[in-house]
Amino acid sequence: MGFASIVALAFICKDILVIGLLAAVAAATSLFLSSEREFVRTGLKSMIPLLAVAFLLWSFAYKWSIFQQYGGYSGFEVGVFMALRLFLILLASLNFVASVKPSELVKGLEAFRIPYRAAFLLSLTLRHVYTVADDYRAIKEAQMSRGLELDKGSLLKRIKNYVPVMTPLLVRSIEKAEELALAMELKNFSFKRRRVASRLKLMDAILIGAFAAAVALAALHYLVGVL
Amino acid sequence: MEALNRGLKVVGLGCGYGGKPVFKNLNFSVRPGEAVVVIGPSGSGKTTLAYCLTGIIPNRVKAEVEGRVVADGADILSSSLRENVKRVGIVLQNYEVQIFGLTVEEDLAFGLENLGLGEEEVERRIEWALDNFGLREYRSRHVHELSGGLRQRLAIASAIVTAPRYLVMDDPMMNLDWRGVIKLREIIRKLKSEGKGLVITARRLKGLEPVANKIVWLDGSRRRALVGSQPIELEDPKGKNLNDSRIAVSFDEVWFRYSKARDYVLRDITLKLESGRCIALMGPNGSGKTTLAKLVNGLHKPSRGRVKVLGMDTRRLTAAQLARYVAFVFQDPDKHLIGDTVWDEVTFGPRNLGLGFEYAERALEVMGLMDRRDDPPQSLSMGEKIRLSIASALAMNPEILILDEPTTGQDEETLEAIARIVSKLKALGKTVLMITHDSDYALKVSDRVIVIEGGAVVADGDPEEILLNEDLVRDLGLEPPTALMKRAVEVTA
Repeated sequence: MGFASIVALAFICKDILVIGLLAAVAAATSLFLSSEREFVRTGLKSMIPLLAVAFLLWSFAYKWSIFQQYGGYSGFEVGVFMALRLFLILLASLNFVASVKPSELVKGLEAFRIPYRAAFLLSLTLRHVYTVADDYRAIKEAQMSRGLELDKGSLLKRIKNYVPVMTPLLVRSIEKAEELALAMELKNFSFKRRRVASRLKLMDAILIGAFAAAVALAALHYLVGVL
Repeated sequence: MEALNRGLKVVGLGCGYGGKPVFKNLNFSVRPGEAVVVIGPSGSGKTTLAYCLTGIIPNRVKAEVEGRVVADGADILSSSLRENVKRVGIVLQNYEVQIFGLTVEEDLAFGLENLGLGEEEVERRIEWALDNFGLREYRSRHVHELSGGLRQRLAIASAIVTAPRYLVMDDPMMNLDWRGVIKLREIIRKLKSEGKGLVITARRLKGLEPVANKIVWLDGSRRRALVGSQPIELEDPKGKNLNDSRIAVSFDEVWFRYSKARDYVLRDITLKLESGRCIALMGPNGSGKTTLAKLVNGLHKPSRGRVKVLGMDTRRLTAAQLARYVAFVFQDPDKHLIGDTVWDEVTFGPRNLGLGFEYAERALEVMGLMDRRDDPPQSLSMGEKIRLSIASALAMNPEILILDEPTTGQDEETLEAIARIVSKLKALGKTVLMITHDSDYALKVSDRVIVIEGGAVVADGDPEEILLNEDLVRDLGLEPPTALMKRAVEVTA
């Protein structure tokens, strides 16, 4: 599934779709919000200001934009179009991040011929995002409990106040990296090894096929003028 | 012939860093199906020994080693780590870094895939591990969602699933509550019945007696452990009757949750904590003890209800402002040591609050750290680091002192120093709130015990009434005090 999501992500960014088609696709995608609804919703909420800015910006500034192909459309229509497209991309990204498993991500990337080393590092980073976040919070709490005011004062003062939080965090992270290296050796880890590759399941194949077909159709329609 | 060779043998093992020996001339052996428990306080060489047993010393960590470690006839100290790991597995003290997968299943698969086993064999071993370690229902869960105890079980499972014959566990009891200790014992029993030979390091023997076949004492700790079971001399008698005690902290129908999407972590808490007392907060891991304590120093604000500290509503003040009155000593000193020197560290609080350094000086004296004043905090032993944390808190001259698991360091000197500080603070009319698993210490040092479970107060009263009540201790899952254990028959959970 993650594999298919990657493809979906890629194709949405490429196309220039008409507003109507976009709206339809957006509606369909939001129906498929199954698991991780909470995460996606929170993510979208924080994106609303971004969407609003994009909408306004494009509505008024499109004449000066680098992308010239808006013949026929004007003002708010462009804004809506842009905002919708951004919304779609965000939606797909959020769903992707929320549902992908590092192992699938790694396998997917492997198929794209990205070196195992990089893919593994990425999955490990994902796994440890939470540990680092936990550490950060713990350090922040410890320092706040010793009188460190973190959200007051001028910008400069605030930056200075974050130093006692960042220093231990960095030190811990470096220590952790060393321990990680040890742990990897203990698990007989080797970058050279070709891992057990799982076969592409039927469902994946169908989805990939469907998305590929959609991409092809859209490309033919808009870029080539056929259909 | 082979049977003679079987076993993990330690012969005349000594180890040290930079010319300073940590331990010398250790001799013991572990047979498959046996568990050897190695006891020693922090700094006595438990982790060093664990590293020697697996060949991490000298392969990855530099140290001066003498003697031999032999596993089933193979010399560990002179073989590569790759070779050793097949025979002797290890669960590190910091088991977090040994978990590589995002989900439970993924992590179990990780080590197996690295062995180059076929897909079927990998599947089979994963299923075995899920069943034997009680992890089946967590199969697809994300690792970070699990509790610490579960993650530790996962780390143990992942270490065993590659089928080494011997397993070393470095201080697995460190963060466990009593129920966790009981579960760990089950796992140890199971591993032994599978024919694995185990070496477990720990700071004290308590809790491991039923599963230990042999005990090895490091660094004269046997002597100290016996000393620990005697009552600690306090300056003031514990049962001091302060008629004029005020209410230092009050909880008024307090409910707390982290966000609207999650459950309430604390439910309907109503408490009054008096000044001049030491109150022990006990309960299983995850029950909300630390959360409750964080409500006292303003790190968390109540979702419902009110918390008043010295008459002030905590919602009106930031944690930093409350730091003037409430000092919180966190569990892991490594998390917040930032100073270049001990002195910098201990004066961090006063500097933030604009206070003078008199209290900092006195705190260092009382904690016996004056001679380390100009040393970097990283060079201190764990016991000394904990003392430094406490000194840093005392340097702010707080009205209320919160200690989160002060006994984890298990350094006898430190524990005595803490007990003395507590009684001094009480005499001055200050309040001490101590979160602890250690029932013995709670009995000795506290005036009142509050037990929290599932976010609610389930017991509140005199330490003796609660902790010496066998049924209560068992039902609440508390660690039985030594006094109870001496007369009770061990019940296999």
